[in-house]
Amino acid sequence: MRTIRAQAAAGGLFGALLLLASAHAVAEPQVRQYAVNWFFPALHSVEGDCPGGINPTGPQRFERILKAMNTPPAKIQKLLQGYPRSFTEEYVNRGQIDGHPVNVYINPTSAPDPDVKTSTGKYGYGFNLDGKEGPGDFIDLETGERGVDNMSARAQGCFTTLRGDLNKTMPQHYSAHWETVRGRMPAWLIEITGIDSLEKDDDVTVRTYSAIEPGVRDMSAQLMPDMTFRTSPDPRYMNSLHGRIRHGILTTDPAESFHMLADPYFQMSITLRSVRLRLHLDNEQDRRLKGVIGGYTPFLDVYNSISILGSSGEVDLGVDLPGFYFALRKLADANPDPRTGMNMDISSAYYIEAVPAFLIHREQEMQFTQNTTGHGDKK
Amino acid sequence: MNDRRLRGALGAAAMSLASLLLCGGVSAADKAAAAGAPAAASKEAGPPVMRRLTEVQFRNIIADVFGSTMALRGRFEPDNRSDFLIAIGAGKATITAAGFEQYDRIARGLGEQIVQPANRDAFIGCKPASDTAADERCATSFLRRVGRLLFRRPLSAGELKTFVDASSAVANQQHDFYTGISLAIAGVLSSPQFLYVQERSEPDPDRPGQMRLDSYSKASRLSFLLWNSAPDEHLLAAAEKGSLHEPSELQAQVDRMLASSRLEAGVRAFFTDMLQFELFDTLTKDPALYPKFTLSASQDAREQTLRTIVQTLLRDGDDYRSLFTTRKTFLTSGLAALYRVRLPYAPDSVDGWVPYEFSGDSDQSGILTQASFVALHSHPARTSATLRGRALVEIFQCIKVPDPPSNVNFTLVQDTSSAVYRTARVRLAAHAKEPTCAGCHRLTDPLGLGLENFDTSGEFRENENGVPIDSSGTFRGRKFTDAVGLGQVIHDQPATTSCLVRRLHEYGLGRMETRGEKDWRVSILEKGFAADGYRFKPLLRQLTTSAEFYRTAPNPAVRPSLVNVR
Repeated sequence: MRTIRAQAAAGGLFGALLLLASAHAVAEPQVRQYAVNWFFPALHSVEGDCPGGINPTGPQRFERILKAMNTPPAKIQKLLQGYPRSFTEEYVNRGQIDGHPVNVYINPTSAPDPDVKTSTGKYGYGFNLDGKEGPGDFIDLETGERGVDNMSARAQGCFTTLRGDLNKTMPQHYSAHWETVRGRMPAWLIEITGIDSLEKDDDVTVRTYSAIEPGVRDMSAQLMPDMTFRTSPDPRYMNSLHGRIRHGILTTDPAESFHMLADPYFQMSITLRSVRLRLHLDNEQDRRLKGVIGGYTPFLDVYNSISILGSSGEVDLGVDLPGFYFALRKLADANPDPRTGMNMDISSAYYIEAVPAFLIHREQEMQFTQNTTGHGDKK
Repeated sequence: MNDRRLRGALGAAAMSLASLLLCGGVSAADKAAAAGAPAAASKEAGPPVMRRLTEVQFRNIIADVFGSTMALRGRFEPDNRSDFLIAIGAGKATITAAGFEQYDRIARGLGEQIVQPANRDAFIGCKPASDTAADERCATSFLRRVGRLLFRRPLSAGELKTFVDASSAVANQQHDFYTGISLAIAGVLSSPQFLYVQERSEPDPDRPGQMRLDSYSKASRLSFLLWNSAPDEHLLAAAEKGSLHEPSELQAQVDRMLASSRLEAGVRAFFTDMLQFELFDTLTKDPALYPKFTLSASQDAREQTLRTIVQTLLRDGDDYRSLFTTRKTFLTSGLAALYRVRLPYAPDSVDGWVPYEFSGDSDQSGILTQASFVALHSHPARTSATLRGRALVEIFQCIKVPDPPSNVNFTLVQDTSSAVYRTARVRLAAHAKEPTCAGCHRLTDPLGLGLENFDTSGEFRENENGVPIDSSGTFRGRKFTDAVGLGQVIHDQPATTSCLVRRLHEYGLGRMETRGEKDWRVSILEKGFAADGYRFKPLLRQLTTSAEFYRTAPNPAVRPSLVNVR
């Protein structure tokens, strides 16, 4: 008995079994707490989803840039032989404003739109955010929902290092990015309260927090499960969503916004509007929470998270940055600028995987401060 | 003289110094002691011992004499465990040629640090007449004072002269007083009188015909037991006066040492030895299967148990047996994750350790359920009810379990993915059908299976291969249903307290008990322990204030070879 209670408290196998097997017998609603282990764009990149092939990387892309700059063929050959060392500042500053060279990453519209390829796949991940079925919408692979809005996936889907398939391959850049930052930024925390049944429950609450502490890696380089985190009292990074559970899957109602402190390297914060979540609570084997969060995010945030890498973004990631900017801008599908009419937000979906954790809220901190010999395994 | 030639000259000097001390100093002392010994040795008391300092003792002494900032550069000879204790193995430990090179390296490094301009005035305590020549007066003053602390007794006139002469010779040759001092102190630190705690006996005037430790040996035995370091100035002064043989002075010194914060180091050292914590140095777990068992989790597991022991036995003064049932402990964030509990917020914690009390219905109860036991006595990728059971009976019940025969087939036990034998209990039951195995497994396995709910990293689990784990068992007629019950059974066993007293006694003696010493331990020490509510500090007091603890047989006529220099 003592074991079942303790494991249920940590969101474990037996907690899940207990809930599934005896929904009527559970007296107190369950609370589950997690720390986010993985977070990256949810893509379903498959062969053939980029007509005409993947956007060129490395020397091919450099050659295209050189041609666009009217470089003489002999010089192009010489420069290609010296690539990537020959990709010098001159090409970083290939943008033109008023006849002056400017940094093309900071000023992506200062170069012509190279019209990079975007994904045309039929299936993807996310949510039907606008309630409509549009020509660029996906069919969700998991739920079968039609009209799924994830234009961000289309913009990213034809760059080799940004492509990925949720069930097979993590997107190379975003997984490396998260791998780099998750042990250095305040952990992302998820708390699900009011769980009466994993089979059917119409009233649960999902709260997300930024932690005070960063996560700690375990020996497999993943976020260590069952660590204790203090939640940040900063209200900007607290989000609350109402949801319901059906057959172990929690889906939230749309919420106006979601904001989370991110990392100091690539993206300071993540903002989503018209946000919703779908989370699997029934991963009995590894006790992990897995799911998707979707919403509209500023397309400039997506662009800046790559362009901040500068020439490394072009040379190492092989992403034509002005091209990426134009792709995002063209596919942006929400929040029109009142002045220009240009959509500033782009529909997006991110994969979330979280490990069980213990959360201490500010009010509990005071409790512990008064008596540090706590009974922390009692929730 | 170039650097190489200088190093060669100094090396030769140090080696010859050590050889001189090895061959000359010890045998002379033996002859002197043997001359005063009674003709008939005591039948009950064991011999005085000569124990090699452990690495921790070496470090403690250096910190005590020269401060904790001194860097020890070199590897120490590995400690040897014998008859369940490193303290006993230290009495059989030699120093290899390679090991001596390392001690020499450490000693030279210390010598160099001692004479550094920033340190020399504080450590040496006098100034030479000239920095560029020998100064016997200053060298003698320094070496006499520091040598006494390092040898745990005053240096003999011969020993002092040897070191001072060496210092002077080098100082004059190198035109540097401090180089001479550096080499001389390196000689002290690499000499057997320092590296070995050499006990000496003398006739006991209160018990004609019997022997006792001399007062300096008594001070060392007391100090290494209670503080895991050499005697301090107060204790040496009492030894020097001979008053340590007076019960009232001995009592006063013991009370002073028991009241000191340094007692914690001694208690930690004893339990580190008894619980075989040197095994942590080589403990590994399969990172793919047990990713929570990080290096810091491993270090924390060891520390958790030591903190639990110190808190329970020293600070709270609780019954020793409560170590097997207590819910109180200390956790770090990594350990809390391993045990799957919320770590209380403790803003006052400067080192990351937080006092913690598991709830009354927790599976965590006592040190047997801590990772320092269940993880330490397991394989890298699977538990071992046999290793755990063996450790439990050997460490806490003082029952010796023989090693398995060399031709045993372990295939069945090791196949944790067997579709037929899905739990450790079933696999061991099948394995124990081997007649050659059954005897020992009957003793070890029921206890070890009581801890099967803890995987090899110490994390709790309910099932193995999808099958619920049965952790029930019986030990000496007492049934238990799980690890908590097992802890209670061990708590209630008379052998549990008896074993602790035996281990402590032998740890203090540095050797196994003789029959007479065992009789005294059982009839006096154990009864006193019980009368004191099985509290550890009173046990230490009773042991260290008893004259019997210091009784010995005469010094052995021939000492073993100290250094295997080929």
